[in-house]
Amino acid sequence: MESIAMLGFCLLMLAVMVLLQVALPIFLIYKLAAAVIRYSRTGKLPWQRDELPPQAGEPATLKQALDRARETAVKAETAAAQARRPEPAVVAGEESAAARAARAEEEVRLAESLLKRKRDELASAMKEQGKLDRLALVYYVEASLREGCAADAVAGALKAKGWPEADITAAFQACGAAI
Amino acid sequence: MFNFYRRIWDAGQAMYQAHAFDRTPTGATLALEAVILAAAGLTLWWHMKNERKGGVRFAIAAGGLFIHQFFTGPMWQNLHLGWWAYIFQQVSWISTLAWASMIMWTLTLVDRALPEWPDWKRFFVYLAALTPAALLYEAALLKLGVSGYSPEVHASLSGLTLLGAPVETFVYVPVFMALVVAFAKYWSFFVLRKPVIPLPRRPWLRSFLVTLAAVLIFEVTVEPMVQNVGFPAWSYVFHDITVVLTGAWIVLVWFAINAVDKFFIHFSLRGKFLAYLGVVFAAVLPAEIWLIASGHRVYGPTTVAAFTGLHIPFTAVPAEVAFGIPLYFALILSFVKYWEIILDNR
Repeated sequence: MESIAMLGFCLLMLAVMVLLQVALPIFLIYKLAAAVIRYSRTGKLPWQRDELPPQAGEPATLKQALDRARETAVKAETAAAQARRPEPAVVAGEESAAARAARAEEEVRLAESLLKRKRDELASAMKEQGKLDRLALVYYVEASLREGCAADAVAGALKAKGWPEADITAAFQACGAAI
Repeated sequence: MFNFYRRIWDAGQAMYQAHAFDRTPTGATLALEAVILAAAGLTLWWHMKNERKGGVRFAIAAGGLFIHQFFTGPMWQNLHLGWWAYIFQQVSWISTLAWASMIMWTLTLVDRALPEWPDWKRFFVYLAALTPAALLYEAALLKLGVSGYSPEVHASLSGLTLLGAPVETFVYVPVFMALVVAFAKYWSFFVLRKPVIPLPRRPWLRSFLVTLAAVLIFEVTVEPMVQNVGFPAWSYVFHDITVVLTGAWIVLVWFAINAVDKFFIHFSLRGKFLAYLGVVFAAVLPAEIWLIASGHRVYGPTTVAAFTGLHIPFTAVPAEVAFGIPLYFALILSFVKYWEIILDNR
């Protein structure tokens, strides 16, 4: 009983040192091993990302990727709700509710990956141009549209804070949205 | 590596012997723990079912509370809870769950009852609701002999009580809950992915005033733990809180927030927070080392007695100081940023 209490004192107080001396070496070895295995399989170095295969109807803009992510999320929720209900016998050749829900989840993951890629592409381009404040605007516009805010309201809020019209318009254009 | 573990074991054994206190539970304390665990379980279950990211937000509230309990640990006593109830010295995870449940219910009920009120008004309602709840809880703990205070805290009390709890509860609870609630709300913005409007120009003066409030609140919560010695007599404004040192922390936090918000405007809430903390830690740690070495910062006897005896390498400064800095600045920074966000995002 006493030894457990002592260990409790030590582990909390020195958790960071334990992480540095134990977890960090293990983590680094794991990452190194994963990088070696990946290189042997794909010939790619750790900083070279895997390319998503080209998708039919891939969204061209951030706004389109965002809309697609939201649509697939709604469909996945509906499919999940249907899968939770008692299901009548599945007709041969038809998909079961559980299978539909699983497929919908997969589509959500794909849509989120595409959205993330669009966001990263936009962020890289703007960082190269040094337009960090405009990038912050793009993130805000995207987050607001994701919450379901109207584009006009978002633009109005930015204008009220003193953002120039040109910057607001450029942020919306970068997202592929219209005010 | 084995030497390291042996040193930990020896330090823990020595500390356990040096800081022994009565953990023996009573029937009443066992019943209290059962009630707290049931209430916390119900709180967590209900919030996971009915609130977006309810479980994560409960964990955040508990984390903020734990930060405060951890770095103010030497000020309080928590006795008779049983050996299983303690994480570190007299810091009890059961107490953390109790406070976190109170906070979560308060935030949820106030938000649902007053959805049209702006965030800044609701903030004061949170504090107004939490204070009497905390008083009742503290009175129960004192009655059961669980709760107690260090000699330094006793020296700062007036002796007046209400339901057995010091009347200073009405001052202390809103003050420390302001920090913890702001921490919980700030990180809920991140978890819920709330859009936070960027600003083209930093509001320097407003930012300074909010930072001033945050640092002063913090200084009041830890005032019994440490003495600021050797500063000009005119600079002491409340007990040993000095405008020289407090002013330096205010300027530092204000600078860190404004510099990061200006030059890293595109960072996420989490990225900016880590950047604020990094800037502050890099400046405060050497300052604290110098203040302790020069005798300007003197920790109280109860606080010193609670130290493990481990030091920051190459200094005589307790390791707890290095751990404490990011912990308490996490609360200060989240208070400042929470207020800036709710004032800008109405």
